[in-house]
Amino acid sequence: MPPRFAERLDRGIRHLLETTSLVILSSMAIVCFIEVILRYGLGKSFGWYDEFTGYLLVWLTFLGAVAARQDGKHIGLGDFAARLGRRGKRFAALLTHGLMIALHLLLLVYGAFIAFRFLSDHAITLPVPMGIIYAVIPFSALLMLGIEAIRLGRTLQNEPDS
Amino acid sequence: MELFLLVLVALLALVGLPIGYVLIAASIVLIALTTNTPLVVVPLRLFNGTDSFPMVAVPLFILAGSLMNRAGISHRLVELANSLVGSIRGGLAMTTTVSSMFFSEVSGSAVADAAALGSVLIPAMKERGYPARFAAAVLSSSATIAIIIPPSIPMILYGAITGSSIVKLFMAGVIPGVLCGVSIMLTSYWLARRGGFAESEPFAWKRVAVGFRRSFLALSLPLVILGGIFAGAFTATEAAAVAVILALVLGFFVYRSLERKELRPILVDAAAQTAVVMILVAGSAVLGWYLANQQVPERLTSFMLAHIDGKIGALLIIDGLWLVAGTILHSAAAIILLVPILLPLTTELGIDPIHFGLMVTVSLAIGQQTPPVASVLITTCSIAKVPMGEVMRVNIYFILAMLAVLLLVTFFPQLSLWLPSLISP
Repeated sequence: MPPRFAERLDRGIRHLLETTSLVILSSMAIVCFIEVILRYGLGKSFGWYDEFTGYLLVWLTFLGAVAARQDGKHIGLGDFAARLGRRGKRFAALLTHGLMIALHLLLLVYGAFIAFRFLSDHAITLPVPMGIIYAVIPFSALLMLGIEAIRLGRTLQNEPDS
Repeated sequence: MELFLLVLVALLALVGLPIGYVLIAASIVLIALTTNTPLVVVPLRLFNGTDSFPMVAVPLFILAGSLMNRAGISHRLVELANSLVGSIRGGLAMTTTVSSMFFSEVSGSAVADAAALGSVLIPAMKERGYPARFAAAVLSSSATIAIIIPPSIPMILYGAITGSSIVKLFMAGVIPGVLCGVSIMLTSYWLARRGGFAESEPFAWKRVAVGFRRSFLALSLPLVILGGIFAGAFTATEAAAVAVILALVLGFFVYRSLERKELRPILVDAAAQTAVVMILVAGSAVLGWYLANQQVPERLTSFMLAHIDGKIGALLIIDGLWLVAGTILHSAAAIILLVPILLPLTTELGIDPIHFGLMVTVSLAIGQQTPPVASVLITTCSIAKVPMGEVMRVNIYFILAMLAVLLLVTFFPQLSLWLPSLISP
């Protein structure tokens, strides 16, 4: 992957993830707060808010996980690989990228299968096909594949991860 | 199969794969090799593991904690705590514990607690001549109280997967949380006397009054959040949303310490922090499903009941298992993975699920300070710039103090069950 294209792709994914996670988290807080106000102020309630916020959490998890991978925030035992010396470290990094790519290829394929399979089923309280809600799995897997491909390219060229 | 699983998980983790993905990858390998179940079950279980309304409280409490920290609430709470206990020998250590207890009432995460208070208190302790390893150890132990005193992210996860009342779990955490705080303060006092650490400043009622006035609104926030939950006015998730809105009001309109441009990075960071926890939950949900499918909980229950004589021995073994789990697993992964495995056993032994929840939480709080997976200890070590091994030489005393509290919580269920019994007998 050409370095300039990789850089632009990396930044594009970051911007997309930042914007979506910002919208999702704000929506969660606002919907739950309005629910409390409605219940005590008007004695009314959104019938859909617990299902809606639950799905928002799923989206936040899968998309946020890609952002956390970009920033190296996931919890792991990276200290061990860091002690392996230059060649060992490089090997561990290549292996990790390879495993992440294999894992997300699988999630992309099976996630897309589920999304298409449930495209005609609707959520219980929302007028949204379940397939759209499940689509976060293949979508986030695709983004993660992009991130891992960029990191793999950099490791092969011996560049430090950004 | 169990041995193969352990080796596989260890290998994948050691090469540097994030733990959440280690759990997913191990599940895929095991499902493919040992069952006829199609792999489409993996994304489905990942989805179901995170689709939970009670767990929506997790990102909201993380966000509320970040907002309150940026709004300068931590400084005000430190000032108040220092006016109250700073005059005792080792005053800043006492201040650290009391500030952590205050701050933990608005944040459900020990790592957030350590990061928020560490940047203020560790430099202050070092300046006063406290050894850096002591400063890091006392903060690490104090910050772990955040997951025992409500609101608590591990309790939310425990409640979500066992169906136990999160409100009752929160109430059950109050007395053990205070006991942990007292035990840490007593240990600090003993270490301060041995090390000849000074008190921070003499006691003055005027300073206490100023401290209360300056932090009055910050202190009223947990009253609204916890008062609302305990009174049954709103669920933990709704309380977390109320906390977010109140923190925004406090930061933007009362203290005027938050700026609009800060909001985006705070939200983005809270989202990433949430994902880090929730991907562990998702991965654990898949592996937990596989283990349940292989009837591991039933086999473990029969084995334990056949080999353990008496409830006391069983309780000690359960505590030991959780302490080990806490040292090698993140608390979220440990809860989602192990609670369903151990719950049938504790039910057979007649242990109340709320009591078991507190045993789990206190054990995991101790586990957060013991390497290799010591999220809180790592945070404080990095702030204090001191190696983990050196901090552990002091931290061991605090860990022993918390172990004493764990034994109290384990063998005196009323410590955790008395407060919840007041809302429903």
